[in-house]
Amino acid sequence: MTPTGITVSSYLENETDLSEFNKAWIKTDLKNTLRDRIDYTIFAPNN
Amino acid sequence: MTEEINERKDLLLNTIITKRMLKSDFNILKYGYDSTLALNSNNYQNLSIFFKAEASIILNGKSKVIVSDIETDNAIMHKVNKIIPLPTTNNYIDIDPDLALFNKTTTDYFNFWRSKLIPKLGRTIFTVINSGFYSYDIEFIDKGKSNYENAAYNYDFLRDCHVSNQMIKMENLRTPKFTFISY
Repeated sequence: MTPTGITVSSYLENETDLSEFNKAWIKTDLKNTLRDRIDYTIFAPNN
Repeated sequence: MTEEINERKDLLLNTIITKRMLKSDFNILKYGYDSTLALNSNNYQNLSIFFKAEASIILNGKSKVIVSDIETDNAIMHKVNKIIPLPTTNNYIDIDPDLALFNKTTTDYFNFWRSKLIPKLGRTIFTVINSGFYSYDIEFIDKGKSNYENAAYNYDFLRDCHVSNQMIKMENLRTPKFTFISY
């Protein structure tokens, strides 16, 4: 996958309709669960 | 929503699969299963997720993708309209089109049996796909009878589809020393 320069965390921080999901993402520290070399698909519920 | 996710990390892990899946990939496959990062608390295996792509992509029969194909560094993101429910056997029997006839045999009279099919009980169910019914020389579904009558007629068949107190994966069945611990 070609790097876009946008991380999942930074994308979530800037999407207002995903702010609730972002809070859960931060609280569970999930970004440290994901490994950099694997491509993931994430289904993010909106607010 | 957030409180629910915060209290249950498995709900958050249930939103993630370990491969790149664009909307076009779902559309090609039409429907099927994949694995999420969420784990079954009974055997610590990854839980499945069922997707069906028609006019929209629906996950586990409840959550609809409303914005798709958002690219980030190591993930494709799709926005969905609600939290994806954790999978249950009953849910999959209800929504998997390949199991429509099996579903019909387990409705009504057998709801008491299906109500026991929750993951923490650690059961295995061998579900027969639609074509399996068509190729059999016994009419499992009599369209002239009610679901209750059909289910009662198929009692032995349904009982034989279930293994109690044992969660069996294909890799288990391939193990030379594998044995059933119940009927």
